Amino acid sequence: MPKRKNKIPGWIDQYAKAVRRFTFNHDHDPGSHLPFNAFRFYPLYFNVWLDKIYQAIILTNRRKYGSGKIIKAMPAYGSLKYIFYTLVNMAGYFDYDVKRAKVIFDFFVKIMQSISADKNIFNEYENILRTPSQLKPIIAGLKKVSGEQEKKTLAKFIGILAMYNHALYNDFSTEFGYSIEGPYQLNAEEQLVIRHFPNLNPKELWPSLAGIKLSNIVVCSIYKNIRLKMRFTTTHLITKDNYQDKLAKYLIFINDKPMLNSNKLFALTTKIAERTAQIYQEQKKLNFERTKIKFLTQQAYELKGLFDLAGLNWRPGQELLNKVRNKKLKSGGIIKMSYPANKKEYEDYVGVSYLKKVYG
Amino acid sequence: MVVKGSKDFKKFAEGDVLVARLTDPSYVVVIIKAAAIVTDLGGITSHPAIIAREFNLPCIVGTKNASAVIKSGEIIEVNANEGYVKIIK
Repeated sequence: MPKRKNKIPGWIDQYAKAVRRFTFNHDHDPGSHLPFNAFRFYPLYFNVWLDKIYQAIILTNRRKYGSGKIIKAMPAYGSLKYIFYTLVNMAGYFDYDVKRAKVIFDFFVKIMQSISADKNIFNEYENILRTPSQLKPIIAGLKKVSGEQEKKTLAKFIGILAMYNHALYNDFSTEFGYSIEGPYQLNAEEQLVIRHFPNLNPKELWPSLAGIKLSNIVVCSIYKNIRLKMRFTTTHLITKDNYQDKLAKYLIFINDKPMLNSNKLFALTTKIAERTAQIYQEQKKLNFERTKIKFLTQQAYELKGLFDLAGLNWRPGQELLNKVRNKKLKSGGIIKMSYPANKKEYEDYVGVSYLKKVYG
Repeated sequence: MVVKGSKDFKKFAEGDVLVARLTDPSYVVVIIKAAAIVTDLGGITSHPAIIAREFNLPCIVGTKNASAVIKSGEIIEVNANEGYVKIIK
C-alpha cells in the first residue's frame, strides 16, 4: 500500500467539524443574503481574487515583516475565519493550483494560530483569544447594570451597531466591522463576551462618512445564568434564552475611551441609526452592475492591510472587474439545497477533499 | 404592520409587529420601534435573526408567506419560543 507523502494537518479536521452547521444553515437560506447570494457571485471571479491574495502574500513574505506587524494589518479573527472558509470553498470550486493554495492557506492558518489562545483555531462555538490572566483587568473594570432600562439601552446600542455594520460591509464582510470574542466561561454562572466594532468609519467605501470621528467601539459584557455559544462566524451569538435580560456587568469603549454617560450613549445610538439608514439608502440606489463592484470593493477592503504591506493597490483591478461585468449571478453550481448523502459528498462540498489534496 | 419598503416606514408605530419579506439595514428606523419581527425569508444567521437577538425581540424567520397572509392592522401573536405566528383578529 503506498504511503502518504505528507501528514494532513490537524486543523483540517477542526475545520471540517466547525463548518458543518454553518454551511448547511446558510445553504438552506440563500435568498436572505444581502445584497445578493455571494455564493452565486464568487464563481464568476474568485480564481482571480485568489491570484491577487497569493501575490500579496508572496510580496509580503519577501519584505520580511515581523509577525506583529502582519497580524495588525489583518482583519479581526471573525473575518479571518469567514475569509478562510470562502478561500477553501472557492479554491476547491476552481480546482485552484495546489501549490499556490497551500501558500495562501498556510498564511491564514499561521495568523489565526498566532492570534488564538485556543488550540482549535476553528472552534465552532467560541473565539478564545485571551488567557484568564489577560482577562482579569478587563473584568475588574466592568460596572454593574443598574436596572432593566440600562439593559434595554445597551441592547438597542448593540443592535444598531450590528445594523450599521451590515450597511457598511454587507452580509459577507460583516465580521470586518463586527467581531465577537468569547464567550469566556468565568465561573459556573458567568460568561464574558467582548464585542469589537473596529472599523466604523470606512470613508474609502462610503465617502459620505468623511469627517466622522467615530472609528472603533468595544463592548465588554458579563452575562449571568445563561449559556451563550457562537456560530462559526462571529456575528452569530446563539442561545436559547434572551441574553440581554441576563446582562450583569458591562463597559463600553468608544475610540478606546470608556463611555459612562447614558445620555451620550443614547445620542450616539440615534446618530448611528440615522447614519445606518443613510448608508443603506445609498446602497439601494446602486444598480446591479454597481452593486457587484461595491461588493468586490467591500471584499477587497477587508484585506486592505495585507495589500498595503505588499505594496499593491487594494482596490479591485480591471481583470477582476472584467470577470463580473455584465454577468448574472451563477445559478446552481456551488449552492446545494440538500444535505450530503455521505462523508465523501460532505467533504467535497465543504472543501475538505480539496484541503486533503493540497496537503496530502 | 406589513412593511414592503421605505415608503411604509413612516406609518410604523411604536409597539407594532414588523412583518416583512426580509429586513435590511435601512429598516433600522422601524426595528427600534418594533415589538417583534416576522419575515418570509431567512434562517437563524440572516439579518432579521441576528438583529432581533441583539435587540432582544421575539422573531420568526423563514415563514415563506407571512407578508402575504398577514394584513396590516391585524392583531397577531408571535410566539418565538414555540415558533409560530397566529392571526388573532
